[in-house]
Amino acid sequence: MPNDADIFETLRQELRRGSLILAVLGQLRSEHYGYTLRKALGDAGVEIDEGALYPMLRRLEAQGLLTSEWREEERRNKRFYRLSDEGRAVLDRLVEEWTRLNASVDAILKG
Amino acid sequence: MSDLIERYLGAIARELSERQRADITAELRDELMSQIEGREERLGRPLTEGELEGALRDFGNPVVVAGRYRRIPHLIGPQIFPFWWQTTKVTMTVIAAVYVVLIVLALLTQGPHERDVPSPVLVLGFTFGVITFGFALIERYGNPEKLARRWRPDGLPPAGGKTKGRFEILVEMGMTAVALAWWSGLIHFQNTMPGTGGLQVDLAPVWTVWFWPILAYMVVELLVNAHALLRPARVIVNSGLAVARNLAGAAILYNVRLDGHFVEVSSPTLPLDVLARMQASFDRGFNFAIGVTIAVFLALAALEAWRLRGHVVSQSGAPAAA
Repeated sequence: MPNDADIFETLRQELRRGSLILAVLGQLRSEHYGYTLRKALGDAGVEIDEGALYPMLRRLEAQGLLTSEWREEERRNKRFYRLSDEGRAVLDRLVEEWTRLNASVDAILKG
Repeated sequence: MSDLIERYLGAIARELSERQRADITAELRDELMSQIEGREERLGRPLTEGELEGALRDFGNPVVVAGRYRRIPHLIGPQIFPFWWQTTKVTMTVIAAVYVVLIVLALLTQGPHERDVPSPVLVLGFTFGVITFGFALIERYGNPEKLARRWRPDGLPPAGGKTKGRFEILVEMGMTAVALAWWSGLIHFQNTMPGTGGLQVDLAPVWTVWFWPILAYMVVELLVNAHALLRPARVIVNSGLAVARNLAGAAILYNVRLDGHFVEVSSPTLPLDVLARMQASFDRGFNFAIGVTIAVFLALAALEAWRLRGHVVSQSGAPAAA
């Protein structure tokens, strides 16, 4: 039977899942490769492990929200990601939705 | 050290499709090398073999890492899982009912022969595999959302208890399936009575005359029950079909009973006068049993007719009869 810590962890992950996509899209308004993207997110307080990040980047690229290109940097080939025009439009709408939802949930929690 | 990294990346690559293999492993190589370099920079020295192993373990099991890149990471997803579970439950119940009937008959008649009936474990395992494979195909190539949308509130069964329960229908279907398999010759039961000096009991010619109507009746019974199971909301149709089926069963047995001679007994050892007495006893016994069965059919037809009347009255808007 799951204990309180397990239940909290499961709920925490569910809560974070949608927000992570938003954070990744937001961070990719400027170009990053995987490692620096993860570091930048971590520095901003959004920890994400590589096992979740890379498949997410591929999915978002397949959906047309990101573009990517391979370039050599620091003597190694790296794949650089950036928000596409379509991704930018989707992000703007998601931010609106996030702000509205955040305000509503905040009001409920404080009420 | 680099050998361990190459082996790790190779293990991930083996789990990926050829189309995406080179691209993903190149990206993961960069991430892994960046992480290792970051740790080395913090420590101010190269990682030991043990520390490298720890870093790879932190990165994750190669099968899990590669699995996250699959388009559909599960065999049966959450959207179709309830349908898979429902289908599995229903099918397994029918099969279990068939085997329970077969086991009871085996205990009573020393049959059916083992060669006629495959092992229940094999049948249940195979059926489970076929159902799961079918739903995995829907998950992979079909439209699970469409499956979930295919229902209508007015297709739901009535809330009252005036219809046959699903379990009752499934058990009846299992029993009919066994009867059908025996009647059509797919399975055989021992017809030599144990402990009676080789007394053999065979069906009389009247059953051959009524072979096809009885076969048709069993098939209809299966179909009527299947309809009741799949379309529980059609209460009027289901009750109407049940009335017709029970009346047909009673009519067939009534005609069989007119013959008066139902089984043929024979024995290589028993004297003829004993056999004649046994023959008469068997025929009397069958005559009584068939009479009771006809009465049961008529009672069930009456019960369903009463249910049918209730459904018709309630659907016409008037208060249903109690």
